[in-house]
Amino acid sequence: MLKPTTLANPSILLVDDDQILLHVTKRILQHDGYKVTTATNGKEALDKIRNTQFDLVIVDVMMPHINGLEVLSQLKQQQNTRSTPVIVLTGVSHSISEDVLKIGASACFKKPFEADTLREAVRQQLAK
Amino acid sequence: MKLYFADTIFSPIFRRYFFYFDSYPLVIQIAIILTTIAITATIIAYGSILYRRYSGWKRDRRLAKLNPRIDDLITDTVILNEELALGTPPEKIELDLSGFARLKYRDMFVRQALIDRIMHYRKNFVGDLGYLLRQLYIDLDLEKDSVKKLKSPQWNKKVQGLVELTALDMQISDVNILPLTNSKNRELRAEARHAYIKLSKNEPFKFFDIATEPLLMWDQIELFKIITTNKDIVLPNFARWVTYSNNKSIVSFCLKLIIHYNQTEAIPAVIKLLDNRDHYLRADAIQCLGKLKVEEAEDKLVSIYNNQPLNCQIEILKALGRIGSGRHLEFLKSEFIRSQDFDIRKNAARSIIKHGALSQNMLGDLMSVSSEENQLILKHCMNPLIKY
Amino acid sequence: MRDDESSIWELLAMFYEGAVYVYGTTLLLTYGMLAIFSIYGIRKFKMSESNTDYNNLLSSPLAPGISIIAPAFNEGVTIITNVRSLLTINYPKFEVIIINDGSTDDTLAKMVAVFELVQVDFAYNATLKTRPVQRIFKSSNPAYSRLIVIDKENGKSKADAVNAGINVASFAYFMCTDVDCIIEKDALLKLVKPLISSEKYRVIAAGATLRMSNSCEVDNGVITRIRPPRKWLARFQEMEYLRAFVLGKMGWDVVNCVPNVSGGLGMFDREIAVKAGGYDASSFGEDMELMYRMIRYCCDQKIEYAIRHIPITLCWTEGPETVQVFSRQRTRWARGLAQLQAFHFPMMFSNSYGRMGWVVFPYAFFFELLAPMIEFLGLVYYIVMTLFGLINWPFAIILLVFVYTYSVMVSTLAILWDQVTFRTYKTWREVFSLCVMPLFEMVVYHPLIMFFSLRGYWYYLTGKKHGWGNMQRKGFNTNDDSGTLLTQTAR
Repeated sequence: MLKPTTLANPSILLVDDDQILLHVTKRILQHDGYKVTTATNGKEALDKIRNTQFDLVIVDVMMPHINGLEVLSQLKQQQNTRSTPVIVLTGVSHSISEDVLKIGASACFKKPFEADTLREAVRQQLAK
Repeated sequence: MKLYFADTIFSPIFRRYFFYFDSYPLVIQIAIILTTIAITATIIAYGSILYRRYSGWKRDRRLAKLNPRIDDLITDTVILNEELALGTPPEKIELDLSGFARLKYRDMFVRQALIDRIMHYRKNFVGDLGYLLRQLYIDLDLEKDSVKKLKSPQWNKKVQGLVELTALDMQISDVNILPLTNSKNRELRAEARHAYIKLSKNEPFKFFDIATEPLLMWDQIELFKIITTNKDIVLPNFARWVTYSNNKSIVSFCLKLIIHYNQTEAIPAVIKLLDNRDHYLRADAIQCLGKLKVEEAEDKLVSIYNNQPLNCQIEILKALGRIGSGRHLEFLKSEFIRSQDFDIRKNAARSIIKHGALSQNMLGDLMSVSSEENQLILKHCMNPLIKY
Repeated sequence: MRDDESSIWELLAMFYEGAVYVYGTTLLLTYGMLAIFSIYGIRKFKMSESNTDYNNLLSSPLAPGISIIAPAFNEGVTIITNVRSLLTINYPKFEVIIINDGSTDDTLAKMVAVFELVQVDFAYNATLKTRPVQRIFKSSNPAYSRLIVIDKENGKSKADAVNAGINVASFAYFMCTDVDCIIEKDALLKLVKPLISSEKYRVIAAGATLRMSNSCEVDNGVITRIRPPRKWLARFQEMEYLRAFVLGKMGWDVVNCVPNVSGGLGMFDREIAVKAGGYDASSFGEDMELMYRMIRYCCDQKIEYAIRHIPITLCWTEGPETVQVFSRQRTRWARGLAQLQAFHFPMMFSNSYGRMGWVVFPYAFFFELLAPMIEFLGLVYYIVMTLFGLINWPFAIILLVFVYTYSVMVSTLAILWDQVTFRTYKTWREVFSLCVMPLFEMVVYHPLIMFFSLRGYWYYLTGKKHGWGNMQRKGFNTNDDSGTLLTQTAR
């Protein structure tokens, strides 16, 4: 069952295995008025995506078992999530960002990043 | 025969329990003594295991309680700082430290936890947030702790102090840091240099001039990160060391920096390096020229090709592909057809393909005349799924 | 006449006792020294580790590339999970090469389906000779662009499969593992560090500690809870591994004499490995054999080499739980040891092989290879003496108690050193369940190993075929090969 979301309060799924970063980014986005759900690994993320329709997914590349690339590629392969924009975070952008954009990510950020850059990107993606 | 130890230390005990201890053969005496030692050591080991586990567990529990509180405080005071959100420049913001007072942050344990946490945040956030995190570190007086570590007799404490201070961009006086760059301990020496390069305002690259020992790959990686993520650093022309340094690893490292910063003004120095005796350095220089796409170096590369060892030849082939002017396609083709060496053929093929439209026709010809193995090499290199 | 005879026997007995005494003392002293060296090494490692930020390497464009090579034979049940966990290892630049070694089950089919593999025209350069490679696959999905799958004819040995992987590998370093081992996600970062941060030496290989995965909780190829094995046989092995790695190899590392790197997890310098000729498909202890050959190559070429060991656990392997499988594994290892010591015997006491000729090889020869035989002889001697009523029982018992308490001490120290390295296991009860194992080792586990070793030597001498082809693959399947502990096995 897909829960409906309102445009006034866009929902974001945030996936990262670094607890601190997850916590902070969540607080920042909540502060900006988004509804934020978190997951600490790829498997949890895919489970959550199956049950809920998100307006935006932010995912870290390096995670155990199912990594960000796989989450991204699965999202882009499924009919109902294909259009959901995905922002990818990575610690190793130089070799990966190409792949990431090829699979269909909307944006790719290298850590460390500026909080405002992420906020701006989130705003842009949701405005589309 | 009597044992000295048995007589002085152990014999009262042994005489009491082993009546004939003195009359035993030496072998047996040693055995009895070592048995006692072994039993004692085993019991002490059991005790240490228990003790280590208990104290570790207590530490973890304390941290588990402390860290979420620190996270909340940092989030509230720094990450979601209202003044910052309103657009106040970070230099003008006064941080509200009342929350931290309640944390009993005079306690060493809490202070270390704070330092670790602030460092972790700073690794993930740059810009205004990074600035405010540094401010928090200063306001909480944590800098003192880090500086104190520099004075510790233990080398690893010194390294820890350096790591903390560099991570938070704190100034360290030359008096404190220069002695450490000559330490006997390699890791401390390396860390001190990194700190010097990152924090010294005057001549951060001075040690490139004086370093005689090789710069290890691991150190190069750390140094590269420090240099390339530091926006304030004034970049010198790295050609200086490429030309004058006798330290091969420094030259090689400078070549990597030249590539990273695309320092075209260094090109003449790099071209000169092609005459260097060391073939590893030559290979690095060729790679550098390729990555900088130096068209005017092409002729020279082709002309020296035949006198080079395999690693340099391969680098030359790669460089021609990277530059991709098309003027030496025939050379690449002849190497591809002529060479017996698999890697040469593969790299020649890859470089031909890298020419894109320029080599379209040549590829068609090659495909039709090549041996089966060479055709496979061509297909391998054309396949977008295969990276290497 | 009779007097003469008995005096010859007495002389022999005296000589034997003297030799055994010297032998035993040297062995015990060596262990004592290793214990001291290793705690020194562990402390040093921990000091430098606490200040190392692996993120610098993780985010660096200068990070050297690494090829992970893992052969698979009939692993259909677990292959997907295992490949997936290899693909999600933390490292900026790596490829995962899986060699399907002529599996007869659906190993390949499953990989093709899940990872969207397509056959590619791959220019395969057979630098090392192997059984023919039939096809090479890459994924059409960029999310799996790091994966290469080789489909090759079964070569009846792990060595042959890994060699094919080395031929395909495109980076300067490769990490060799088994597809059924569970690898810690930071393993590449931690193992490559010793290879790129040595001042004096060219580090040609690096290894880390291996442990039993038997009773650990595993979620999708990631260890979520470390536990010592519940079954006694596997728990003995856990203790033995700790002693061999944390106390033994770590101690040898301090004096730069690491004898080998385990087949379960090891990082190698590809150039040296290839020049030394790669793995030997006819060897029963291919890991140690390759190491010996790489060392030999370095000494011959006058390369100042080093092999490194780090004390932390980076790989979990499933140890055999039944005596039958265990016996097969240990018989095979012993056979491999005998085979390779015979082949490389010229290095013994040879000046041109330096540390190898004077420390590593003699140690392995006298205290690994000969030990089971000497023990066995000792046992026979004891029995004969008892039958003739020639035993001085009080002294015999004192000596026995000594050897027993000393070996318990060494094993307990190994467990303590491991706890110093990292506070493994969740409760102290679990640690103590491991601590009781040394108390029974001498009467339960050790005789088993001695017997299997002697059987291995026997097979080596008689060249018994034993249907090794099949046995071996079956063994491989049940983790037979997962960590060659040829050195430092229980003593």
